[in-house]
Order: sequence, then structure tokens, then C-alpha cells
Amino acid sequence: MSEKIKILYLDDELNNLIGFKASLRLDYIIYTAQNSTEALAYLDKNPDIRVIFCDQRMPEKTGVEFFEEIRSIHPHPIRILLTAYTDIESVIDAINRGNIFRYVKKPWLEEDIISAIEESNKFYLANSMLSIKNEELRKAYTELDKFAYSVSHDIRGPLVGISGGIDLALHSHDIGEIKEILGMMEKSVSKLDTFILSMHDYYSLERGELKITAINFHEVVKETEAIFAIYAKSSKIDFTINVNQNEAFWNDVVSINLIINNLLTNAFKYQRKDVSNKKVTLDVNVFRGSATILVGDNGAGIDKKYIDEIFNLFFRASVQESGSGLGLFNVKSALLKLNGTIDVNSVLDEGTTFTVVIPHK
Amino acid sequence: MKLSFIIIDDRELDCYIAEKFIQKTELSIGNKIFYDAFSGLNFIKQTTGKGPVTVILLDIMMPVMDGYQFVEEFEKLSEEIKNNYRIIAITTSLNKNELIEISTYQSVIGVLKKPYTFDALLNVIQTIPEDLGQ
Repeated sequence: MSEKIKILYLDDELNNLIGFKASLRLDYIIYTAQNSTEALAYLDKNPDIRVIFCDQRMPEKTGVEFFEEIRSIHPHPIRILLTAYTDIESVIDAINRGNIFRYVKKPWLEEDIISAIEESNKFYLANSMLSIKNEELRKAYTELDKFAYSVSHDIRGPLVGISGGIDLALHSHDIGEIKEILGMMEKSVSKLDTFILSMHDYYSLERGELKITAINFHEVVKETEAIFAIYAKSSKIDFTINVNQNEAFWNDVVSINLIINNLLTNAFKYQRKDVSNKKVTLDVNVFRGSATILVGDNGAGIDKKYIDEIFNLFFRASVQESGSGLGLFNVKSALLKLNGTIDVNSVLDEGTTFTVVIPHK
Repeated sequence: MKLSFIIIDDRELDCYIAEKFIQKTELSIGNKIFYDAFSGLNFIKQTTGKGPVTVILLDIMMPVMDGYQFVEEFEKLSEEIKNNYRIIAITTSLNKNELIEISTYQSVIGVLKKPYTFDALLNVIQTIPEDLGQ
């Protein structure tokens, strides 16, 4: 165990607190409190306290009463009652009302306390693991629901369009018309392909492992430039790249490429049609172990009311057909894995700038 | 019977197919295409409710404003405007509840599942009474 377990001990007798702390402080982080107000303050400040020891006989309230009270506010710490009086009634009470995990007799032996702590800790870990797993499951189900919904629009949609197109072309005798249909079918096919590729990204981000290597951003942007240069030229968009890296940077190059490419794709895609000085910028700065990536454009911008939703799975803030609703979601998932952050600054009809900060791995 | 048509669908190919089918009916005196529901709705808001009856071919699944939201907004328009339009909902959805839900709106005269055939479209159009589009 790399981190010391945090323990709270509540007892009205100062000598007990001192003795407890003296014998256990090397192995655990001990908080001691002489009354319940003090104890509550520690719990509020340290939500990661794992075990609470409490004396049964105290002047203001009993240990059972204290446990009964905090159960609903602080349900996670494991409760252990210390008492010299072991009549059956108070044991029943402690279990039923205080919902305690262990019962330790006073005067206590150090081995008893340590074994109680270790057992409590195991129980605590199992419980919290369960709630983490539950949370993950809940998230997985929500995403599955969204997937099922999107399958009909993003996968079945282009397919039924194509089959409609085939039907139309089969009944047409006009070669010009048939070619026109084929052209549109080709677009649908490549749209479907793009969607499936970004689903693949989604899957590898969710399940894949990071491969940490030294990253030279000058090399990374060379590839990026090659991907976007043709498009930039044909759509008359001024594309400038700036890299400032004078130190080594270790990270997962696949994730970084995914982040840059998705942000750039959006920057190029959501341009304003009627603007003459279209531009997209990519700036990378590596400084003191973290990389800051800025992707900016003077394009369509994002409506304020959608800004909080743009990173959600299958959310699309634009009516343009080409969005899959996966791009920014994948960016966010990648950043979550890299402990990075992303900020967006956007004004409708003026442009958007995404700022990504990724720490060194 | 002469009709006017509005196609609202975010997919170019689907709009193209719909347009070809409409031509084939030989009933159309003009069609408009909108690639998003919002523009379509704005156009309809500005019409007076006079002229030939207009059939709206409405895709249900579209980003930003979907077909349901479109119909909700459409139902709020004046009776005068609404009387001039008939909506045919078009969907890729396999969910029966969704199909039933959209057909409960008064202005929706039919639901078609993509890919639909020319005959299926014609059948729905023919439910519009002859004496209307005069």
C-alpha cells in the first residue's frame, strides 16, 4: 500500500486518544477528536478517511448514536465501536442502529486494532471498487444506448440511401443521371467509411493501452501538414503551423495524432463559405514538461448554447452532413487517458480556438 | 391535382432520390430542398397559406433540429398556414414506438421507412383529397 490509510478516532478521554495515536501513527494517518463536532469537521475535510473508531460511552452522545447520525452523510468510512461494556443489548444496538463493521473491547490490544483496520480496509476497498465498477457500467450502458440509436442514423442512413440510389439507377436509362447518382453514392460510402474509422478510434481509446515514446512535434506536424495541405490548397484556406519544442516530450503518439487530427478536421470543415481570408492555425509549444496545442480557425464558430455539449457522444451542433458526433468525444476520451485538459473559445461567425494541454508522461 | 413539394433531409443522396420520385408522380408544380429542418421551418413560416397544397417530405433523424422538433414547431403555426401543408415523415428507424409517435400528429398524413419505393410514396400522396389542391 503506497498511501497510508486515514483513520479517525473519537473518544472523550484524552489519554486514550494520545495512546492510540502514539502506537499507530507510524503506519497510519490518525485524526483524533474529543467530541462529535470535531469528528464531523475531520470527516467533512477528509472524505477519504477509511476507518472510524468511536468510544461508546461519551458524555454528549453514545458511539452508536454518533454512528447512526453520520451513516447517511458519510456512508463510506468503515465504523468500529470501542467499548468496555459488552452487554448484549448494546451489541445489538451497535449492529442494528450503528451498522458497525467490528466491535473492539477496551482496553484494546494493538493487534486487535491493527487487524480491525486491515479487515476494514479490505472491506472498504471492495466496496469502493464495486461502486467504481457500477459507475463504469452505468457509463457503458449509456454509451451503448447512444450507439444503438446512432447505428440507425449514421450506419443505416447512408446504406438505405445507397440502396435507394441503386434502385433509381437500375430504372434509369440516362447515363448522365446514372453517373450523377453514382457520384452521390460514392460520397455516402466514404461518409460511412469515415464513421466506421472513428468508431475504431473510439474502441481503441476505450480499450487500448498507451505506448509512451519520445515525441518530436516537428515530425508529428510534418505528417499532419501532408494530410491537410491538399485540402487547404483546394479550399483556399491559409494553413500555418508553428512548433516550439526544445526539450524531450514523452507521450503516446497515437493519441496525440488523434487529438490534433480531429481538431484540425473540424477547423477545416466548419468554415464560413463567403469569407475570403479563411485560415487555420496549429501551434505547439513544449515547455517545462507539458505540451500546449492550439488549433484555431476564423470559421463558423459554435453557438453558445451548444458549447457544453460538443464533447458528448454523438452530439452534433451543426446541420452539416459530414459530422459523426464522435470526433470531439474521442478527443476528450484521449485527453482523459493522458490527464490532459481542453478548453474551447468560440464566437459564432468569428471562429474557434481549442487549447489542449498535455502533461509529460 | 397539382401539388407543391418541400424535401427536408440532411442527406444529399436521399434528397436527390426524393426529387426524382416527385418528378415521376407528374403532380409537382415545384419543389424545394432544405438540408436542415430549421431553414425549412423558417421558409414555411413566411408563406401565407395560399396557393397549392404543399407536401413536406420530412426526414426524422437530423442533427440539431430533428423531425420531431420540426413537427412540434410546425403544429404551433396558424391554422391558415398548417392547412396548406401535409407532412410525410420519412425514417430509417426500426423502432415501432417512434413510428407510432410521429404519426399521432395531425399534420402527419403518412410515415415511410427508408428505403421507400415510388409506389409507397404515391400511395400516401393519393390519400390527399382531390378537391384540396385547387
